[in-house]
Amino acid sequence: MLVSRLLEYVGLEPGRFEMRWISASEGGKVAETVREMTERIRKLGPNRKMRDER
Amino acid sequence: MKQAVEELRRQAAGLLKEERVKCVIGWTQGTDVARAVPFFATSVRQAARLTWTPFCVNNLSKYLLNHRYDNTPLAVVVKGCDSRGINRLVQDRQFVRERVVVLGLPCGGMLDREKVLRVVDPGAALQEVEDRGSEYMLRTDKGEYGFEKREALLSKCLECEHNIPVVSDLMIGPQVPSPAGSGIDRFAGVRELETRDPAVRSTFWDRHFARCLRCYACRNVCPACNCKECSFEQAVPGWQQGACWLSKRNHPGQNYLFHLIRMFHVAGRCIDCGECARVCPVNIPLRELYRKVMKDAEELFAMKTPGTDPEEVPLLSTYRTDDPEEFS
Amino acid sequence: MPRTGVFVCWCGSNIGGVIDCPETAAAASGFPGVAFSTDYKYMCSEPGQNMVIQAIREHRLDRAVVASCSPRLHEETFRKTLVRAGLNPYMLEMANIREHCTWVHGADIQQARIKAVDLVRRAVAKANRLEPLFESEISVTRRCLVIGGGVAGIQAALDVADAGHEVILVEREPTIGGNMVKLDKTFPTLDCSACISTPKMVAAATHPNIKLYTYAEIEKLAGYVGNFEVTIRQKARYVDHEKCTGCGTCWEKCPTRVPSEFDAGIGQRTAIYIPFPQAVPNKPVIDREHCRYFATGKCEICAKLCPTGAVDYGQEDLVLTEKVGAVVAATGFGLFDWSRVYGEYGYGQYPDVVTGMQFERLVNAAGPTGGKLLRPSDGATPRTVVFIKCVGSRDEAKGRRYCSRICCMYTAKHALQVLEKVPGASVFVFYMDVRTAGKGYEEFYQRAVNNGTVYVRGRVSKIYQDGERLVVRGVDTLLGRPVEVDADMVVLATAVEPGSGAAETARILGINTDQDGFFQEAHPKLRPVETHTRGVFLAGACQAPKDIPDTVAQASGAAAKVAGLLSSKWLSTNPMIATVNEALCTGCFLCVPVCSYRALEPKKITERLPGHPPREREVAGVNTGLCQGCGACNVACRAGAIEVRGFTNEQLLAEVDALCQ
Repeated sequence: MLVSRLLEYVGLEPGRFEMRWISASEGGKVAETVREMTERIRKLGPNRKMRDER
Repeated sequence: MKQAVEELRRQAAGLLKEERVKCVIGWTQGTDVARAVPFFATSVRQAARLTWTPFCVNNLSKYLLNHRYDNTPLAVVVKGCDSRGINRLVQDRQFVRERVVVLGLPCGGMLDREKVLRVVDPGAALQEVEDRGSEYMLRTDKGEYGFEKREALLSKCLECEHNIPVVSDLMIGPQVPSPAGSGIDRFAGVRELETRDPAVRSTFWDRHFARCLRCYACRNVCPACNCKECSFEQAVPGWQQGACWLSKRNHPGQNYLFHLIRMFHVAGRCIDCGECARVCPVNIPLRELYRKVMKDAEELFAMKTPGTDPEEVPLLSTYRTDDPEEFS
Repeated sequence: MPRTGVFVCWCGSNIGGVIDCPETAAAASGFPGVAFSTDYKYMCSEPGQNMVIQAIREHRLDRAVVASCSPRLHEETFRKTLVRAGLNPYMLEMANIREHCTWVHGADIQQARIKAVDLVRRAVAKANRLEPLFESEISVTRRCLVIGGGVAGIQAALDVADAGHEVILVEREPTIGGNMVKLDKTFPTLDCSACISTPKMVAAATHPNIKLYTYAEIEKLAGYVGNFEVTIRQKARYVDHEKCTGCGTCWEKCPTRVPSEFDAGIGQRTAIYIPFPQAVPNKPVIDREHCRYFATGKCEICAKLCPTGAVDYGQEDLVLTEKVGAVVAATGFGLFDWSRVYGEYGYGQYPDVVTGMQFERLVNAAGPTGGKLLRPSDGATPRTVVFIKCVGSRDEAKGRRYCSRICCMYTAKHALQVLEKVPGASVFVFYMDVRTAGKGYEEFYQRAVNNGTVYVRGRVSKIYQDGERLVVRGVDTLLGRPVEVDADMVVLATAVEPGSGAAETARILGINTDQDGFFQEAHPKLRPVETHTRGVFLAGACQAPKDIPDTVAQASGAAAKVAGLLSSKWLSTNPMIATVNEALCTGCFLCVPVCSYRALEPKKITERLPGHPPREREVAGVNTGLCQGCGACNVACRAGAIEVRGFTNEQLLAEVDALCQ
């Protein structure tokens, strides 16, 4: 909770960071969460913060 | 404050004379009228140079770390906010409480040096300071100056939580009223930033972090930063650093990570002495960064300002089953 | 420069049927550090393993990546292969291209091919940074602690003892036997519960390898697998069991009567008592709370009458310690207290609304009614009996969400018992579902139905007293209409829940509980009797609701695990554990509270640095027996002084970098 609030505070878009509690037996939930997250991130576009330009 | 200064010198001299301590860490008058600098009194004679003015901003608890592995008995002078640093070091097991004599000073607030120098000639010699409750009277060889506390104090002092040290062996000088403004929201700065548009906030921090010099002054002054070797300077590539992860190169993205990682290293441990923001050569509002976590932790987990209670366990090292959570 | 070998396995058509394994192997040959790469139909087979060994020798490989199935399946296999080839077993990295790739991406072959190559690249990046790890050995105390003297604990204790190891069996009640010995008959065979459990109790008490502590609780468990030290509190019995002969004079003459816990509150016992006549040990304890002497300072009838002078009011709790190498938690279950929440069933106000356990005591030949089915309110024989199932089970609003597993069967048993004891009786069972998975269970349920039990699918909405009768109102959801039964007695099948004190026991043992409060097994399918704390095993209903056959089976399973552990004097430790860089450790010990295994402890070191006199300071030390390599400390250490061997920062970052290419 602290992390998500902080990341939003320093300018990350809300929704770019998420924590979920998923047990090893909840395969469906993992897939669902990853799908949701991927969709959301795709809409937000690439992250511009903290980029490592090597 | 004259009475407190005299008592401080007398007590320090006593401690040194009886050889109860080898060194009293305090302040002495600095190079101009509005500056006090850390001072290490090791003899009775030097004890007479100790001072206590509204310019004694430095948090001296950090200096205890210089002696963490020897057995030198020390005394250190602390204000209310600095005293939380003593608890920090003791909790982090960097210092045994019994080894240090803590001289506590009830504090009426620290004056903003810049504001004072706008009025007073830097070359003036400070003769006496009088704390009149709502204002400070500065007597110098070039005249007397009055400063309304509401106007001229550092913002951290107007948000003061403990003007009386939370830990001390000896309280020096008379009790003084807290300089905290009535009805002041301690986290007003954080809240103000929170209400802004994410994009504005993003630019705000981008601009600040881009200016960071990576001088590490914020780290060097911080009593919560008490690692033996900072993770940003380890030679071996590590999680926090190294050729493959975070370089020392001054680059906006890297600077971002530096500040966020440092932020998490002090999360739940930062005592809010405000020294990081004071020493920052490019004026990054670091206090508003660290206090974000402090505010959230207070609201979510009822965390007190770290360092308030010597028995507390740092927030991120503990949990209660009834902690709120947002997991789904 | 590392010389890494990459071995891509087809796993028959599991992998080879989706991606082109030779192509993957060819792609891998171009990765940094890869000196050799190949593919094969079944890498885990004998020829496959020989191929790996031969390649290692021929190409002077010093580490290997096997791209195949989950490491859960074959990591151990290939580690042994490496040993056979003369390498350190930990110079192996697996890339899971089956479960993580071909099984889930079979529909998109193109993407699967790319992902397989990515996964192999990640594994190679890590493999290039692997370092040999070495197991160390710790000694094993070849004794076992069993906590709980119910059927699970007794069975586990007997099996371990028969395997030749000493067992410390600790039971908190004055007798062993647990819940099973309270039952009258057991489904589906209807054999007498006491007849099959009391001989086991005696066997446990008299076994030369079993040391029995009754009326005792564990207070602390220190140490680690192979080397635990348990602190046991022997509660004061106020009766010297050395002198007592169990003659029974005291409990016959004791003037105080209180509800008997053993009889689920429907019978009575005295203040100095044995829970039931066949108790083991068959010697009494004084219930201090209810004893007249302790309350008023007067009475002492038992002390005066005792022929051997065994009563000792001055006895105190005894705290003792035992050293053991393994622990079996068999603390059993409790029953849901329905009267707190089920207002529609009268909040426990109606004496003839009883629980299944009370019913057991009512029909038990050794129970308060001598086995005659008489209802508690007036001692009349009930002619119409209603059973309500799932009271507290499968009821998220008022009770527990899970199914208690045993109620369907014992309710069928109770129904049969009513029909047998009261000829011509009417028996109604209100149910949600009837679950009879078990050997002979469905047949048993059919027998209850065929003998005249009326099963009504639906819940009871209200019970109220009307004169001598209880009116049970419910709904038959199959017929879709309300039902009302005038009953003489109602029996509630209350939910099985974690035993009282389960959370405290879990804390003492350092094991986890699941969301319902039962002890958490290490893996629901593959490690059902182990816990995440090495050396602590589970048996019986403390892990989840279970019937007797399952409980006994699990107890024997746990015993087999214990016997395996204790079979050797030495135990090799997992080398993939936390390690502290003492130069960096500041000794803040913030890692200590985050360690679930209590594996971190302060350690004094003498530091010699150029330009400084040698100085002593405290740093964190890892107990190699306790550490499980979970990495929690690694994260908590802001100084970056802790790393987990086999998962170092350098290795993990290399993996991330390889994946992000």
